[in-house]
Parts: sequence; structure tokens; C-alpha cells
Amino acid sequence: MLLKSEIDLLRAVPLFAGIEPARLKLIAYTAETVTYRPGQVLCRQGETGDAAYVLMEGEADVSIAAEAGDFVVASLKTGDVVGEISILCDVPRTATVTAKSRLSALRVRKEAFLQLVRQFPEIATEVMRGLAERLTHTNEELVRARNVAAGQGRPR
Amino acid sequence: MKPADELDESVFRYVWRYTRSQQLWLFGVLAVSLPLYYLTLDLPKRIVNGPIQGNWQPGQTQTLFDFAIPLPGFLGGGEIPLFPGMDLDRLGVLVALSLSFLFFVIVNGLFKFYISTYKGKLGERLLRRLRYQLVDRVLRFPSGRFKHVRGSEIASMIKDETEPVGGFGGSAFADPALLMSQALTALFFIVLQNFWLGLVAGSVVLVQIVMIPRMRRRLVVLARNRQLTARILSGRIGEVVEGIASIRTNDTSNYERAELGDRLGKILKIRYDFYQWKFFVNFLNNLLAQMTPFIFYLGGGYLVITGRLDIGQLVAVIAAYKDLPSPLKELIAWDQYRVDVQSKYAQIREQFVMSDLISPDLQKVSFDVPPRLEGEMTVTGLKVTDDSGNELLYPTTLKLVPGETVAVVGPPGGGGEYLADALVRLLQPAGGRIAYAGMSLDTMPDSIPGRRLGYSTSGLFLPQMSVRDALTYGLKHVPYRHLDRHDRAEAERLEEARLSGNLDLDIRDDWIDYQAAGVSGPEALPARMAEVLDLVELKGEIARFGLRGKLPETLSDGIADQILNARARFRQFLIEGGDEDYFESFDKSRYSDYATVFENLVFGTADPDADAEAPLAERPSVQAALEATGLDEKLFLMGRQIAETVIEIFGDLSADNPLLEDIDLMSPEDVETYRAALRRVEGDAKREERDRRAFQRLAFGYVEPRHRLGLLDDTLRSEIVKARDHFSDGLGPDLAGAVSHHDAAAINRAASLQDNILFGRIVTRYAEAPGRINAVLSETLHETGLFDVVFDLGLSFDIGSGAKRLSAGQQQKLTLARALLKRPDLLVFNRPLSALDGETQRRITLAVIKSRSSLDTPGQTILWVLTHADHADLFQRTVEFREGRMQGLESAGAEPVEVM
Repeated sequence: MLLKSEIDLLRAVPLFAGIEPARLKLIAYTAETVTYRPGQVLCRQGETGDAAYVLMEGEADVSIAAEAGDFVVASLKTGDVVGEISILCDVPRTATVTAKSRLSALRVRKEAFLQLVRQFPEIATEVMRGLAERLTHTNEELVRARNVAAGQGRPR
Repeated sequence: MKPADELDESVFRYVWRYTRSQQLWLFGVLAVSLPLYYLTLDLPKRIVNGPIQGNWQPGQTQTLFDFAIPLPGFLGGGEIPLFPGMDLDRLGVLVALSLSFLFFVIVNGLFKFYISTYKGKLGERLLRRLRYQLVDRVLRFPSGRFKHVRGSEIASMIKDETEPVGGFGGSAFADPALLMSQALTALFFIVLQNFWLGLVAGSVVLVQIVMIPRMRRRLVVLARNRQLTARILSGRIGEVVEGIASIRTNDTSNYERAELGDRLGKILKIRYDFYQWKFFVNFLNNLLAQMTPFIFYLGGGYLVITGRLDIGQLVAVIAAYKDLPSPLKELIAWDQYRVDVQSKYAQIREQFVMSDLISPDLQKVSFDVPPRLEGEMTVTGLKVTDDSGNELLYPTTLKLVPGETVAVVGPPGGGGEYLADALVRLLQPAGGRIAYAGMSLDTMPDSIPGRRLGYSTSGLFLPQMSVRDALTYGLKHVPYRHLDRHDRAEAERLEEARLSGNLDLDIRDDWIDYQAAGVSGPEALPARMAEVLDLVELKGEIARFGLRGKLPETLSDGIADQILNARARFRQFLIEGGDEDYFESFDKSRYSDYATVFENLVFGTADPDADAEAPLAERPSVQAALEATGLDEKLFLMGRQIAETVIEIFGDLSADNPLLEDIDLMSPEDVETYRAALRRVEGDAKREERDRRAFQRLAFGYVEPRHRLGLLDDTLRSEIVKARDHFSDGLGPDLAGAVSHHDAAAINRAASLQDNILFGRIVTRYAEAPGRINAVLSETLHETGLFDVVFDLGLSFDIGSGAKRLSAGQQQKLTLARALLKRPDLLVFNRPLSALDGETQRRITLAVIKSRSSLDTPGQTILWVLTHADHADLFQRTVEFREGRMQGLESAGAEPVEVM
């Protein structure tokens, strides 16, 4: 995939939507494209992360290991960003991301990502917005789970 | 060997002691040459006075070359004629005398030639002996001495300061004897002519001889200062090199500059003083020498005028005096030399003569296999103190049973490390005794502890050598396998070593003690080395050196074939495993997407240093190829587009922005240069050649899948592939060292072994590709048996000065492996793996303890000073040291690890 088409794609990604084209070029240039076959793993839960990914083509599953086995918590499609938590907070990968189809992604290395966030407030704001949205989503999920648990407990 | 290591106080005695017979021979040769020398002086006079100017009657002849032995009076006088001589006429005499003159000139020249080479050789041998003696003494310095000496000072003493002593060796006795005889002859002649004038000349000479050396005493002092300051300077320079880390991290480079500058200033002052004084003395000396003719002219003239001296005598005296000053001057110069050398020699000697040198007997060459230390090892009342007498280790008594493993724990400085160092005689105990199998360690020759004990600690110094040499260093005690050499060179080598009192063992022999390593011979050693390197987890890293490093200069055909075979197998494995997509092989007829444009153009690799030397784009054969194929313009436009894009993206970042490091195609410093170049080529204005090349240089580094600017289409690709023909018939001289071709059927000497096997590029677009290719590669190596070659190449890896090309951890692993390789009876380890993490230390510790069965050393005792006390459970017994004292009773380990 060429730089130009990558930039067009990035422009469609909410995280980068508000960023001026020159910056988008910078992001695309410092990143690299990687291709995965179905079933291959982008990042594995528990491992240390050194990059964030922007999905350019194809789909992926996000799964978390639990005692009962892995369960899928989310599906990713073109334009989704994944893997930024681990490099922002220096924690191991919180989930495993597996390619569901033939997939190509833009791999932004940790140092470049941190530099971008540090130097361009508009990118930082977008990252924050993305994280906040995900948190809201998680909170809703939590409430729902509590309700379900409470509902299960009551009849006894 | 004789007690041939004496360093006499006087340099004369030193020279005499070691070169007596040569000096006497030199005297003899000089004595023979002198009359011949006088003959060459005498003959010209005879030629002029005889055949040229003499009165000759026509037909008159003269008898030449008659030779007879005169008989002394008590035998009746007369003479015994030996050769009646030849009767020659005037022309014949001229020819005969001139030919004899020529003959004597040649003979005289040959004598001179012989004497000076002989003197030179004598001096060089003496120099070799002196240097060897000093090096020998360094090897025998008591351990404590090394705390006080600087390596570079010692080196400067042995290398530089000894040099004049060598030169002096040849002229110590012969020169003054010769000069003195010449001077005395001249003086004697003057006295014969006129007693009083002779007396005057003699007394002036006396003044010279007495006064000048006195004035030179100051020169001696200055010379000594000069030597000392220069020595300290080399010591300081050595420290600067060693201490560069501290200098860089403290910004003290200017402090060092000032300090060194100050030293240089002092040296200059001393040297200047020295020269001033020296030339002043010379001036006085010359003045005195010129004073004599003045007296001769004035006094002698007066005597002649008043009729008390006849004019012929005065002229003869003055003529004789002409011959006096030059030997005298040389004699005084020689004396200066002597004084200088004596002072230098004394300065050197001072540093190398000490009462507690290790006796040479302890380091004697020993071909015998030392006895195994099979009995108990006892430490009785061992006490260690520092230089000022503080106790580092209080009297300690300990017993080690053969075959047991003992952990020593406690804080750093607790005392365990002193015990360990004392056990291998690195420390001189202040009291107590260590005995191995009933033999006291004190009096053991080095051959026993050096071969039966193994030692490692963190920070052991490794000199620059290959991994193989570093590993086998512990096995090289004497040349075990002697190569028979009987040629002249060998005889000469032995003779020279003997004449200079050097050790005559041959460094080229095989010094490795295979028996100690437990193998039968050289063929079996690599496997054993692999084994010990595997124990310390270094084998893989060594193999990687072999895989990634440059191929050696010479490669046997067998190995080259093996590599080509592996290349084919690798391809086969790729196809079998369905991994072809992950790899792109080089193909003469296809563009390689993952290689740069330049690599595609020449179908080869470029030496990364070559472009820095002279940009490849500017080299004539590259330019010629570009112009011939029409790529010139296309690559220029491509480079220009690259520059535009890069500057558009990065141009507005400030110069120190870390993101600039990601440009990859140009260095951050070049951004401004290219911005200016872009402005210059704007529009279709006349382009400068230099800018054109600069843009082409950008294009040369372009890799489409990496930079993704979409600048390559199929037409351009095929044009570049076609241009390869321009380079395929051999490279021009401008590219010969810079580019090396890919060839499917041959080895690329400039590439690593790995690149030679792969012969292509990994398709990095696939995330899994690097991992998979690595797996396939290692499969290939094992399948083709090439792993041994890789390991062998790895063993040849140069570890660098002070092993700086290895990490601290690798160095520690290497010295530990070295101790294991010689399979000693006792292994003493003093925190040997401190640079590694605890988990790795534990694994290696366990592997070393277990190795006693695989290395066939069941009775080996191990004493290990641990970094982590919790690894003590691996040992049978634990001893704890705190504040220099062994704690409580020796505690038994929780559960001794089972030793197979």
C-alpha cells in the first residue's frame, strides 16, 4: 500500500480525523505496513508492547483469556486503533488481537507514537477521546454485568 | 639457564657481563684494522713524493713490496727476507702504489662495514636481552606491586627508555679505546716535536677532560627529570584512554587538556634548559679547543722569531694538533652519551629491582603433568590485611573435602572474596597457611595451581584475541606439540634467543594441553569448547557471531560448496514449508523489491563505508551506466520527488526534533542541504551536476515497500534490471572495493555467512516473516551440517581490545567457560557472573555443578562466592562471611543437589 492511500485511510479514522494532512503524512511515513494472514496474532495478552496498530484492511478479534477459556470482547474493523494502552501506560498487552481475515495494518512504533502524542496536542486529545469512549463503553458493560449478576442472585 | 637476569648497578658492568666475549672480539678486529687505516693515510704521501714529484732518472727502478722479518739483537740482528719485492719503473710504481691505495681503501671500508654491523648487532642483542629481562621481571612482580604501577609507564620504560642502552652496548668499550688511542698518538707526536708546546696542548686537553664532565652533571640531572616527566606523561595518557568514560560523563576533557598541557609545558622547560646548557658546554669546549692553536701561533711564533724553535717543527706541531681535536671531541661526546645512558639505565633499574620478586624457580618451564590435588584442601588461620594493616579477613580455618561443592555467601567485602583470591594465590596472606593435598600453596611452583586450579571473577581482563584463543588460554602452559623444524631459520631463531638470554620455546608450536581439556587432540577440541560454552549459555551467541560476521578472507572450497548447498536447501525448505511468500530471492532477471535501487542497479551489495568515502552516485562507472541507459534523468527526477516529499513532511520540524531520526532516506543534517538544492533546480533552470548527483543518491537508497512513495513502476524496474549488464562484466576500479556482486553460483565475500545462505531479502511486509525465516535458517544449518562451520567462524570472532566487543555478561561467561575447559581439581569462583540476572546465574551455576559428570571430573571441588545468597541451596555446604569473619558453624545446605 502506498503512502497516499494510507493517508486517505487515516483521514477516515476518527482518531486522526481532526489532524491536519501534513501531520497525517508524518504519522504514515514513520509507521510501517504489516500484513497478517487469518489466525495470526498482532499482539498477545501479557507480552510487552512496542507498537500500536491502525487497521487498514481486514478484520480482527480482541480476546481476553479467562479461566473458562478465551472470550472475544470486541471485533475490530478497518480504521480501528488497537494496542495504544500498553505503550501509553507501559503495561503488558491487556488483550490478544488475532487477524480474522487477511489483514493489513499500519504499525506505529512506541517511540514514534509517544513523540507524536507529546508534540502534537491535537493527536493527544484524539487519543484521550478514544480512550474515554472506550471507558464509557466499559462502564456501561460493567453496569450491565452487575445488573445481570444481581438479577441472578435475587431469586435464591 | 644461568642466573642470567642480573641487572648490575653500573651500565658498564651490565654490558660487560653479557657481551664480554663479543667486546673482546671487537677489540681484536679493531686492533687489526688500525694499521691498515694508518696505511691509507700514509700511501697518498708516498704517491705524491715518490712517482709524481720525486726525482726520477730515466730507466731508474724502485723495489716495492719487499718484506722481511727483522731479528732482534740477541739473535744476531739482521733480517729474514720473506719476499724480495718487485723492481718497477716510475709509471709502474705509480700504478702499483695507486692500486695498493685502492686495495687498502676497499679493505678499510670493509672493516668499517663489518665493525659497524657487528656493533649494531651486539647492541640489538643487548637491547633484546634487557627488554626481555624487564618483561620477565614484570611477570615476576609480587601481586601487590601491580597496585602501584601504571601499565603505560612500564610499557614506555621497556620500549622507549631502554633504546639508548642498546645503542650504547656496541660502543661502550671499543669506541673510547679507539678514540683514546688516536688522541694519545697525536698528543705523543706533538710532545716529540716540542716538549713545551706538547705540554700546553696536554694541559688544555686536561682542562677539557676535567671540566667538561663536571659541567655536564647538571645535564645529567636535567636528563633524568626529562625521562621521569616523559614517563609520567605516557602514564597519564594511558589513564586518559582508560578513563574516557569518566571524562565524557563529567565534562572534564578540558581539565585533562589543561593538565596534559601543563605537563607538556614542564617537559618543554626541562628540554629547553637541557639544550641551552648542552650548547653552552659545547661552546666552552670548542673555545678551549681553539685556544690551543692561538697559543701555538702566538707562543710558537714568538719562539720561531726569537730563533728558539725551527719553523718546520712549528708547522708539524700545528699539523699534528689538527688531528687531535676530532677524536677528543668524539671522546667527550661519547662521555656525554655514557653519562646519559647510565642515568637512564639507573632510572629503569630502580623500577625493576626489588627484593620480593617472585623466584624464577616458581615459574620454571615444566613439561611434567603436575600431580592431581586429590587430598583434602585445608585453610589454617588464614588472615588477609590491606596495605595499611587493616584486617580484611580475620584468621579463618576451613576444610574442603574433594568433590564437595561449597557456597560462600555474605555481603560484598564480607571476606569471602579474599578467601577465594587467596586460594588461587592472587593475594599474599598476612598470616596462616593454605595447603592442597598436604602441599603448602606458598612454595608450589606456578605449574601446580596454574594447571590444577580454575578461577574466574567478574572483570577479568581479556586481551585482544579470538574467542577460540581466549577460551584455550588456560591450556597454554608449554608447547605440548612440537613441530619439527630443522631449517636454517629455526637454527638462527634458537641461536639468537640464546645469545639474548630469551626463552627459546616456540610460540608457533601447539601450546594447547588437550589432555587437560579431556580430549584426544585438535580435532576433538571444538566439540569440547562447544560443550563448555553451552554450559555457560554462550554457544548460541558465539554461533551468531559466525553467522552475522563478515566471511573470513580465506575460505576453503569445501566450505564454499557447503554454503552454496545450504543456499539450495534453504530454498527447498521454504517451498516445502509454504513460506515462499515470506522471502524474495535475488534473481539476475528480476527486480528485488526489498533491496535498494542501487543494489538492484548493480545486482550486488554496497559496502556501507564506501558511500561515505566518496558518494557512489559520483563514481565514474556509475555515471557512465546511468547516462548510457537513460536512467540518469529518471533517477534524478525520482530523487527530487523523494526530497520534496521528505521536506514536506519533516521540513517544518525543528532541527532537534527526535522524529527527524525517522527520515531514513537522508540524515537530519542533510534536510537543509536538500532544501537548498530543490530551490536551485526549481523549474528547468540549468542544473548543477552536484545537485543532480545528490538527488540520485537519494533515489539510490529507495526501497518501495519501506518508503511507500509509489515512485517505481514496472517500466522503471525493468530498465534498472537491464542496466545491470553495465556492471556484470566486472567492476571498474572505482567500484572494485565498494560493490560486491550477487551470484547464484558463488559466494559473496563481502556479505555475512547468513546473507550468503539466504541469498535474498525477507519480505518484511508480513509480520510473521522474520521469525519464520529465522526458523527455516536454523533448520537449514542443522540439516546441512553447516552449524559446525558457523560455530567455527564464531570462535574466530575477534573479541576486541579488552574484549570490548563482548558485553560484560559475555566476558564473564567466557572467563568462566575458560576455567571449566581445563577441568581443574578445584574451581574457585568469585562472583563470576555478576553482570547476569539472578535467574540466568542460577541456571548456569546448576549447569556448572552438574557438568562434573559430563566433563568427567567427578572429584572436582567447587568453591563459589555467590552474588545471590538464595542460590546456596544448589551447593552441599554454605559458608557465610560478614565483616571479615566466618559466621558461626559451617551450615549444611538445605538439601544437597543430587550430582549425577
